[in-house]
Amino acid sequence: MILHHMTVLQAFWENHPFFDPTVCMPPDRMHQADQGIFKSIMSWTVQLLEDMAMAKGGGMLMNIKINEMNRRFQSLVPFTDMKVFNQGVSHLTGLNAFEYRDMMKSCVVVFKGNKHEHISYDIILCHVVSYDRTLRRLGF
Amino acid sequence: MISSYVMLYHMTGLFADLDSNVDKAVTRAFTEYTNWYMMLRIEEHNEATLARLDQAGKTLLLSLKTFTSVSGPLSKVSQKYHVMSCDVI
Repeated sequence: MILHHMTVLQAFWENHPFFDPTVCMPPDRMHQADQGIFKSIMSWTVQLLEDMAMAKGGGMLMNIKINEMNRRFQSLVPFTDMKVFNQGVSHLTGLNAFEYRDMMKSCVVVFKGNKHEHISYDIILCHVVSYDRTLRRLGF
Repeated sequence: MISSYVMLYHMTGLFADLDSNVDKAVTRAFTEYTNWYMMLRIEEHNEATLARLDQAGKTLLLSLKTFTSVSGPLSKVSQKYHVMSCDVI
């Protein structure tokens, strides 16, 4: 019964062979990438950090890890178009897309440290200098 | 500023002492996401850039699979997240 209601019986494009309805649905970068995928990766990484630290060393280690993450966000070198989160990020809620984009620029450095043996030079540039300027420099 | 930069230079991964596999997976997920996002932001695509975007999306999906497979208790929840990621990418 449910399938019967979900089936499109007479699609309005069935007599238009050159019409592709999927073309009319472009991806929404802000909601799907910035506030979708990246928000999920970020929140899950923080949750994973809390859970693993709690399982291994209890509440004290969890606090140490969260404080360390916040300290790294605070320690980033100020640069054009690079936002420094002076209070850390663990307590932030209701962020908008711009703040997630700012966070994205520094996440690799924060979570990995500065040992970039396996990260491409483009990505290092992206985090060291301004994100948009890097894009222009690379010819995008 | 200089002292903070020196501190950043010497720091290691946040997950390094917890689980090295998770450390690698998290780093790779963020790196591949940034790479894919840079390709996505190109305003005028041609065949070459579309091919690179496609490749970056596939690599991102692979890194997300690795990320969710090492995430332990979160892996059940992450199935929905996988579907959403595949849909977007």
